[in-house]
Amino acid sequence: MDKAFAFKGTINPFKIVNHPIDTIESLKEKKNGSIFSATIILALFTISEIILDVMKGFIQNTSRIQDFNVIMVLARSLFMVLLFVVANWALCTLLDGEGRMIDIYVSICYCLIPLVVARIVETVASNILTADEYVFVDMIVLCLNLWFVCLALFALKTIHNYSLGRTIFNVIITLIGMAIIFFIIFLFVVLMQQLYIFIATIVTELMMR
Amino acid sequence: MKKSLKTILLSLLIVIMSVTMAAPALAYIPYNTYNYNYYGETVGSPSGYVPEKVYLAEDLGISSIHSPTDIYVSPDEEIYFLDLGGDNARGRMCIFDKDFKLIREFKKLKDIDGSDYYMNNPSGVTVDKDGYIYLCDTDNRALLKLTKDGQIVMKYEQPGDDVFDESYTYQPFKVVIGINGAAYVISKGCLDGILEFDVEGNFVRFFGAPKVQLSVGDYLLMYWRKIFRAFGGSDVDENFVTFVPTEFENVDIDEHGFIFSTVIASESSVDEVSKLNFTGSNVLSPTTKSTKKISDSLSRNYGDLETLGKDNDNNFVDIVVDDDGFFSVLDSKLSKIFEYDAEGNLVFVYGGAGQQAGTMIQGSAMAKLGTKTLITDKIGCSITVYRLSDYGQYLHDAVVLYNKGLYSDAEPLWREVLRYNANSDIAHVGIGKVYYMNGQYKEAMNEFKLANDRENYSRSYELYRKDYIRSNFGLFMTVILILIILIVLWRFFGKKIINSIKGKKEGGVQ
Repeated sequence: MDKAFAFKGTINPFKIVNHPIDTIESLKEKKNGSIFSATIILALFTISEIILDVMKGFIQNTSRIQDFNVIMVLARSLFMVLLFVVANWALCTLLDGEGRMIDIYVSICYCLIPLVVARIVETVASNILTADEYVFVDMIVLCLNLWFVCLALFALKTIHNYSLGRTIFNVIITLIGMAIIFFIIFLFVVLMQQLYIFIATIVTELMMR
Repeated sequence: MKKSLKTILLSLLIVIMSVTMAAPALAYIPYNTYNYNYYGETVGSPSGYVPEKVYLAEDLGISSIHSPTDIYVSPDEEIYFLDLGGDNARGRMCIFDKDFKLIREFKKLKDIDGSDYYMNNPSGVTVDKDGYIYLCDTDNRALLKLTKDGQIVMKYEQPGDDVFDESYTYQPFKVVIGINGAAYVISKGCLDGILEFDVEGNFVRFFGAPKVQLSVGDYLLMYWRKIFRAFGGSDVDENFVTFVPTEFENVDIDEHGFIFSTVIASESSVDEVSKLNFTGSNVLSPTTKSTKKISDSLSRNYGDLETLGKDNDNNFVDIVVDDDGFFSVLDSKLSKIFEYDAEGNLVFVYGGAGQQAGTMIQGSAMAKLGTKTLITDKIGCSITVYRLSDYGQYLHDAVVLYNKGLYSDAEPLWREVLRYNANSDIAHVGIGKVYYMNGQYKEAMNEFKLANDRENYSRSYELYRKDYIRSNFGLFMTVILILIILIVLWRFFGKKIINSIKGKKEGGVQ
């Protein structure tokens, strides 16, 4: 059985924090990542996004709890990651990328660890610090976000065996691809709605007669 | 029998109720009063101003009113009222005392050489501290300086040739007098700003030209036009919009010499309400302090927020600042008055479109007589007087004390305000400040949270946190010490422990 499908990975995902290059290379060479731990990290990321929205301290939080919409949070965290994975896989398959979808998924999810940390730091700090002190937290969060970008770029570069320029080009194309996929989904939903209305009308018509 | 008795009793009850209910109908207020919360949503509030009396021509002792254009209350509480004065007349000025008793009515004035002078659509009047009247005689294209007897002392005529384009006609429209005696004049259709004249009537400068805000699309259009012109295209294509600054609509001046102005709203106007210092820059925040900026693309936050983005611009025809620093704007589209405190917080909204006492068909000018508000109705040809209600009086007095820094004096008044209106944000801030000063930071935080005032909340939280850590110092130090000891122990013995566990495991397997 392929190791990437193994239920339990042999590599510690948190190693990506202090040994990013080694970890990602071993993910590619030894295929010792696991979908299970990747999914857990993705879940943690989603939960940390929700927690940030709900529990952010009053000083930093200008939105109200009654305006909170969990679907919007899912759309901008979980959905975006999955969409990126699918779009990147679809495009890189065509553009000489070596990675399989599972490789992309696992490594992108491993790279989310700094973002999870950033969200938790933000949630805790916004409840403890005053407005003036919070500037430093903003800096830390910015650094962590940038680190995520670097990790993700490096992961994609390694997995697809691209040069750095090619990777950046591919990421931009992937973002466009995400927009197109999103548009198609939107179109599909609207079409389904029309179809639903059409069928509902026929059913009502038949029932009334 | 029983049924008929019931019917009789019921009808009797209805009669009694209708009689007793009819009495307070006089105090009926024909408009909604509200305030905006931090999120720009409308929250109902008690009415701060209630209509007191509506004056028609016969109540004022003058012949019929025709298109009132301005109303002004002088420092010695005389009311100056401008209208066209009858169907064929072109202008009239009336002076009333503070009880609306006619003092003088001017249908014509005396020119400098002693001959009769007839006004032609006068639309702005003000009085300086020496008692001279300044009158904008719009269609005669002059600003007149008069004595109280109607004798013209001086005329501020059109400034010299190099000031305006040839095509432009000077039409003074509104005027205020600065503390140094300079006259600040708005001329109809003038896009360069407010005209400043010195005491001798010489033109000094343009002042505080309204800014234009261009969108990205506008910039692109401008560049496209440049390219178009470079290739010999004509400039008169009707698709080309011109980007010109907006005109000023009205001005007022406060006791410190700040000029409050409104502009005619358009798509590209910013600073629809501004407070200009003597260099002509706006010192008023573009957004009201108490509401979150709703959208970056919409610059306005004064006036009606409900119609924001619905293609309904404000039309602030008048702005008045009173002695306590409150300023009010009159929106002639809605015939509503929005009153703000010196900080720019919305305090009262009153008035409305309609024909009942307290509403106007089209409000055209506004003045403050003490705390009373006088509004002229251009089409209804009347003057409506509003007075502060009990709630309004408490709120007004509290804000005055608060802005003077007398927080604890204002506290009982804020409590009264909250008794009427628990949603009043500024009342919560006022009480919060008192708690803050008394060192009750927890209570202060609660009040600031209710008012959505994050700045003050953060300030009192900082001190609350300090107190909290100080009173629980022992606990904090214990926790920190234990943590340090644990870390040190782990450093020294951690590896040994792990190795011993691993060794046991391996041993077990073997």
